[in-house]
Amino acid sequence: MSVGIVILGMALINLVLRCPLFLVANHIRIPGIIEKALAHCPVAVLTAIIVPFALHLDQAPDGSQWLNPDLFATIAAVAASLLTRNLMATIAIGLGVAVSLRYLAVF
Amino acid sequence: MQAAADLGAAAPSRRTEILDGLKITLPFMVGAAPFGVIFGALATSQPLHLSPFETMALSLFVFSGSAQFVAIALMAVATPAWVIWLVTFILNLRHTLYAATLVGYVRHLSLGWRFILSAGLTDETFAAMEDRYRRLGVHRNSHWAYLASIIGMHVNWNCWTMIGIAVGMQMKGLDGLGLEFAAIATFIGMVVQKLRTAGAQTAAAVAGILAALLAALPYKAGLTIATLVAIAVAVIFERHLERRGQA
Repeated sequence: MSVGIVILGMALINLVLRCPLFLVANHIRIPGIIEKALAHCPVAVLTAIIVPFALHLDQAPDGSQWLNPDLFATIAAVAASLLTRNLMATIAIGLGVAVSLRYLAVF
Repeated sequence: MQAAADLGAAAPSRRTEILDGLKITLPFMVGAAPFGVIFGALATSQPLHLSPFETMALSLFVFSGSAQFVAIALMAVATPAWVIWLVTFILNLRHTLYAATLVGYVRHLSLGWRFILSAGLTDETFAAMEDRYRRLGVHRNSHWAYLASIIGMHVNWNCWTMIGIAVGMQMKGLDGLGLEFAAIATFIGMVVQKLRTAGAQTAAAVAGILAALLAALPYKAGLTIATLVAIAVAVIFERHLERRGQA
């Protein structure tokens, strides 16, 4: 896989998403149902990335490595985010758990 | 736009507008700084080892923090290019909403201006400019504040990415420590803060369960299917709640 091609494609996709409405410059009423679907996009796609990562399904699709440091780091990060509502605190606590459980070789 | 002509005579100078555009964007620039460093460090260190050049290309040309983090997380687990593109597309579909909201304020500008102002649109500049346009309306020079906001975010993001790259090059020996969790933690923070409505909670639950169940599918097809089904279920569930509320 060429990294350059991936980057070029991503850059073009962002232009395609950001530019057409401005270039046409017409008022467009986005239908309510589309607007609602768009609003859920980030939550859906990010959760679909988080959960397989937390359960190490990329390394073991059969789920045999579900008990791992990243699962506990995920739980800690969710708790931190709920309690602090602060993104940097969420990262610091999640990363702290992920690294220290590996260091202690708990699993 | 009508207001553009009306307010022409009394419009603040370009200089005033540029300074104010930077001023209202500064808090977002400060907020983005640590993420720029984390991004640059993660991309160039393990397990991905992108070159400094590739990492800078992402920040310069993609210029979308969440999509860049997703790209390095997915590249690290050997995801096909088209899946990364599809995820970028789904993740940044919200930018069409931003453009739809702001288009009325820029339609009087030239094609070149409209291209630059849309190509540089990010969450942060949208938040700053949408608020500013609602407060102050539009006049002859207000697009200079918009441009200043874009340039401020872009220069800021790329400077911090560069510092992150310098950090990442020092971390070359730190494979296997679990540092890649930093990207996942940013996603967790973003998702959790959006889980206030029943619709968002439904989307997250369906996406998470399906993505786990379908993880063995080739080409990361599970990721795409889980995302699309979750969005559909959430929309249907919200409509169901609305109807029940009306009855």
